[in-house]
Amino acid sequence: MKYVTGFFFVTLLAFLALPTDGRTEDFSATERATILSLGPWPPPVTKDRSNRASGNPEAIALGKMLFFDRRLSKEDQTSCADCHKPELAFTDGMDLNEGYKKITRHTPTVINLRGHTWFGWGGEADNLWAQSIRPMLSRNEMAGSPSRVRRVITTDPNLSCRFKVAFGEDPATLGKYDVLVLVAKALAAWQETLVTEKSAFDHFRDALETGDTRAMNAYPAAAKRGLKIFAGEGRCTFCHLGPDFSNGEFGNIGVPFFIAKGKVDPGRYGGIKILKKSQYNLLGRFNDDKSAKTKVRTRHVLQQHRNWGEFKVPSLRNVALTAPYMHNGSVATLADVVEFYSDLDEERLHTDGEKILRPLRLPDQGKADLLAFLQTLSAPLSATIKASSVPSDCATVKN
Amino acid sequence: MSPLVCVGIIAGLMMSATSTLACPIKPTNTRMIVNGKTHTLAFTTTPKPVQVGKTFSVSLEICDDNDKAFFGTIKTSTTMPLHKHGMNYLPSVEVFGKGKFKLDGFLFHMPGHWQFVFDLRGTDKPDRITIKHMLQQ
Repeated sequence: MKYVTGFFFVTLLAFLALPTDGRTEDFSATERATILSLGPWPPPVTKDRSNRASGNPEAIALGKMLFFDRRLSKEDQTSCADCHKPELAFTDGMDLNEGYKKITRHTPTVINLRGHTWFGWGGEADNLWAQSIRPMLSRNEMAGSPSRVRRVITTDPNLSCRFKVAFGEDPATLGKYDVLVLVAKALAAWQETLVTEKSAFDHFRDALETGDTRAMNAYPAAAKRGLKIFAGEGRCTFCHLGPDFSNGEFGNIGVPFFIAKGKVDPGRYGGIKILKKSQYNLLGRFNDDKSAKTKVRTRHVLQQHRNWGEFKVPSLRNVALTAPYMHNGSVATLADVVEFYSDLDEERLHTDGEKILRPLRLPDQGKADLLAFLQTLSAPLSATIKASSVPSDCATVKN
Repeated sequence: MSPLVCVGIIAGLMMSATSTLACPIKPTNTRMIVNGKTHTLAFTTTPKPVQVGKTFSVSLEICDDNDKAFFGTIKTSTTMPLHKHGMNYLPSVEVFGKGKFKLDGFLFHMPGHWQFVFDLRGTDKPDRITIKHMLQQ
């Protein structure tokens, strides 16, 4: 009887281990390769060649101050941080925010922007400093102006001093557009430092690479099953690929883009139009990179009819912390996003060829697993970055 | 100027001129040779391999079936045939020398099967050369 009981338990344990319960060996060779391609994280630190302030500690400190400064907006009402709230992973937690008027697009996070090539849901900017100018001047958002920004910098002795230290130029001797661009470059330099630490997924991915079984086993089984869907049958990595979980480009996933009666958000189509007209794009005089390297995309990007309804493929890092979702904030929770893809409305997808997107039709367990995986992409900001501040003699300058 | 220096300069000029000649195309390990109906094309990308979401350029050397350098114009299109869509970018073409071209501004935004099509025009032997490319993640 003793032996029978022992055999029963051994059999039971073997049986429990058999189903696809998130074991690492359940990944195919292709899925493993795909998983490895989602890292390593963080990416190597490289300076933005278009921005002379990139990596400059004094400019970073100035940018941090300005990010929280409401004087850059009309009537001192709004700062960057009022919509990109640090306590909400630099989002606002709302579907659509209001600055001076109703805004028609959802506020994205500004974390992990280093190395991105297009900014804004429609890719209206090809660099982070130009993207930082946009809300300052937008009538719907901060409703500021180049003159206002210059006045704030030149009339505040502390800011003026920090500007001089950061850029080696007296803002009082510069024109309003030059001051605006350098302020934006300082803002961009600070935002570049907002990089997250390794997430639970990154630790699993690294363990998979090195064969560290113990570390692999620490990753939740549900997340492994969700990862298998993500990297396999779900085909999520067609667009959400690489260490940033985004191809950096644009797609139409069937989210409605009507913004009011008779008005549509043109998405990428309009974004390219704005980009090409902007004096702050990388083809313009404010680009600090005198080589052609940073200009390639902007020079060659092509506006096509299919760009209508396309919006930026967002990074999925910290995705569990940045609800609501989509370019218009129309999907409330991450579980709803999984439902959205599971029941995708094919009628709304415009495609001539083989469908890239198709409904996943996941069972409840599959949905829960995919959600569990997405939740492992969260990580706090790098501790060294959070503490970054540069002592400066300017701090003693009295306003 | 000594005769030796003169010989050196002439040799240098000859080498320089030779280096601009694409034809006949010589096989190397670093590029792909593809035959069309009337032309042969040597193809390579920079960087190599191509990565999803990263810009790259294409270098071409093209000769006709008489081993003469192609001197016409190139029109390129790059698509994912299964999905029936192309790139989000329109590459530019720069003549680099006799039969040599550099095409800049390519970017593949998805993994999968891509296809380059090079239309050779402006001569009495128009040709179309297609190259398939499987892009891994």
